[in-house]
Amino acid sequence: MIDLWHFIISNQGEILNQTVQHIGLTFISLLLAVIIGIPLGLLATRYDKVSGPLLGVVGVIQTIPSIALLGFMLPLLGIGALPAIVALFLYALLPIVRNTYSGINEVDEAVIEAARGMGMTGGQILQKVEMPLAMPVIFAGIRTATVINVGVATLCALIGAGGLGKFIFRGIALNNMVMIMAGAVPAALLALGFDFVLGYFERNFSRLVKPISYGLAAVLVFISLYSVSSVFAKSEFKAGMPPEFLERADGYQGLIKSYDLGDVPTVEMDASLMYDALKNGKVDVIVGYSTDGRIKAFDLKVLKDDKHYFPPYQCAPILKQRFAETHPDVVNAINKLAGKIDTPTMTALNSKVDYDKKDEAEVARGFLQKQGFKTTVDRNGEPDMLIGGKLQTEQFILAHMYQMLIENYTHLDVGLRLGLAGTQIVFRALTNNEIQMYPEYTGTGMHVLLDTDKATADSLGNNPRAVYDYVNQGMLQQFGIQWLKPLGFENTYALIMRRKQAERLGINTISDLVDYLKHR
Amino acid sequence: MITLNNVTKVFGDTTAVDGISFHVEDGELFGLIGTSGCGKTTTLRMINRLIEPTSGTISIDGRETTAQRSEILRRQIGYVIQNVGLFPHYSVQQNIATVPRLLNWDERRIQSRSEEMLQLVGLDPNTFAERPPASLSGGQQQRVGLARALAADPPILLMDEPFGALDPITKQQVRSEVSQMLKQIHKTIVLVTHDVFEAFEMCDRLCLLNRGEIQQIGMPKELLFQPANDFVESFFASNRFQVELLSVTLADILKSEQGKTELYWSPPLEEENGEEIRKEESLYAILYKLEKAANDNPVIIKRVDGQVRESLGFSALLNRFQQYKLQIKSGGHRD
Repeated sequence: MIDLWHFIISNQGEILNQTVQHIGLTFISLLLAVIIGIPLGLLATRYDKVSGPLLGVVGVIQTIPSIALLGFMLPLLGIGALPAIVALFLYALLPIVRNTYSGINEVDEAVIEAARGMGMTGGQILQKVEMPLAMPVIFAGIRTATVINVGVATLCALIGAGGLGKFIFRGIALNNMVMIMAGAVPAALLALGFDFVLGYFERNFSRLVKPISYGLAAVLVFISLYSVSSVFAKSEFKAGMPPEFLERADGYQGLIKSYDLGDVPTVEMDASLMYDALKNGKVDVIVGYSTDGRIKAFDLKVLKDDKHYFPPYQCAPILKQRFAETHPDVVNAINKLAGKIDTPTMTALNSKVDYDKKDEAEVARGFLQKQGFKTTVDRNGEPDMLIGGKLQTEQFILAHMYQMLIENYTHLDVGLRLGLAGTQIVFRALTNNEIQMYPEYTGTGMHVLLDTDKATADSLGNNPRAVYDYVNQGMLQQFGIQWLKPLGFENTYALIMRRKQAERLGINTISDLVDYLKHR
Repeated sequence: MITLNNVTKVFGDTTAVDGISFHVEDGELFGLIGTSGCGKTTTLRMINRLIEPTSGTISIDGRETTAQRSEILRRQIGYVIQNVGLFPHYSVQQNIATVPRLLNWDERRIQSRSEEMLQLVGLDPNTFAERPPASLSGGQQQRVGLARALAADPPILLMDEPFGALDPITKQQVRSEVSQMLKQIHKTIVLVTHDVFEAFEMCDRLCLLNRGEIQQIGMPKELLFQPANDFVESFFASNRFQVELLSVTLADILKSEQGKTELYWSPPLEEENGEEIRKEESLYAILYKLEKAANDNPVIIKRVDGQVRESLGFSALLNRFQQYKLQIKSGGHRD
């Protein structure tokens, strides 16, 4: 709690900024949903033919998982505030449309009949009878939409729209509880605050409607536009980076220092959405992984790390020493793959999954068969061990390969726990015996898991062999975790651009990029 | 005067109202009766254009109702429905003020008119004006509904089963009070009901509908004693005796005498000065009074020019009633 307090104090500027962005995203999308949703709901009450399809469509939108909806937005609207607001707007639509529809429909027939019989016009009936009577139900819909939107708006950090989700996702990536709380607590308070304000507004609707609604709307629109405009602001050259990179010791800050990189406008976004954003020209450079299959598939170019800023990221399986000692047959089976996969091979395998849309298990099987291994997986009952993996495609492929090898060359049954988000989460699962092994990268081991100081890191000179030995020793001592033999490929962080743009600008190395940015 | 001329209403493939024509005279209480689905409510709702006729014309005081916007028309016609339809978000007073507000009356006039209307329907303005409709009993709500319909003093009042949602005891009470009140205010009223007693008790003339067609129009006793067809005859069969008593007045069964006839009802036979009875009262009401009397042999005393001529008990009244019926059926003179 004290940590959280310190964190909040020292980051108050950013928290405030994110909160304002969050309010902006939520409020603009909500306002749009109210302005469009209520008339749509009314339309549905007036035309029976409209109501079925309309409620169906808004209902289906609601069932799309939020991250998927953001993914759909990407090719259409790119990144930033606009797609976030559109997605939030779509989510807010269902409760508002549906509650308007049912609120109006629930008004007693006899009351409407009496109103017509007394000579009220359609507009007067709507304004004086139907809307006031449906108002509690409509307000309930708006309040539901608000709470949903405050929650979903956290996800918008993944497409560079900012908001409190920034802290939450960085926190998850780094397993930093304080950072997660610094995003989650204000978000929860915002939801409560919005709900309270709307509740008050509802109770005093008739009295407040005119004076306050205009004032409040004006103020909030102003704040919203102000805060979102900063995200909307177009710059010529933009960088996209995943939340984890922005916070890591071997991440953004170090990169700026090593290359004397000025302030590049940076958009924080989900690692898996980043490549599409680059391909579609929404950003111009991203920090990705050098083996990602989309580099090949989207015709992207990895910039050469000419100052050797990024440490070597040799990939090797890690497991508990105790487990390795008690399961020599497993270690043997795993080591069958040692040195067998170089970087181009891994990139090509990734590309088969990412671009050719092949199944990870099939890609793994194809490779192993070519190498002459047995690949039958005959799982029955509870697995004897579990293999973990992070979100990157190659982690899926490798995990399947290890599963096939262990199943065929030992008597153990192997299960998989894949797609775990973030290094800390997978690693903690390993130390807690929730999984027994996963493929890790030496550079990550050095900077994230061992938290190596700069002097020590420098002394290793980014020499792959030295780094491997260092992390193996260090982690044995600190965690009782052992590194097995490297697979042969490296998956380093890499600055990636569109090949055509890089060639047009004559950029081959990170230094070229720095030069270009300085003399732009 | 309301005039329907060859009015037809078709919904899809069903003809709800089939070429009907009638006049409603000023100040008359005109009843539309018939079984459910006979077209009576449709007919009523065509008068204030809640339903537009498929063909035919409806005029009020010689002017076709389609000559003005339907909302404007409806503001000049009071409308009372079975489920009342009070606005739950308005107070009683605001409910009553609805049409005056639509007509842009000034606030003070609206205020005084609302109070006047509440008094008219027998509700104390101080107690009821600010209450929400939900806090009122069914009978009170119906009275407020009536007050609301009359607030802008429309010359015409349309009532669709106005007592249909009330329990039998409340219904009887509200109905007789409303009947009394309607007689004072002199409106042209069209009442839809499926309740034969209600129709006979309240209406000056009746229009019996079946399957969208008029079977007979006339005074209640004409429908009873000179039915136009078998349907009219059979419509009243199940409670014939009761409605006959309702439709026949004392004046009908007592031969007219020269001079001034006075009627008194007198529980103790000896007493000469009882309560005076109006000759227009129905035989049903008279028998009901006699039946309630405390003594063995209650009678009505008939005096002509101050002289006691007759004293009439149950059997004498029923005898005369029987003679009167025979007389009418044989087409003989009646008075």
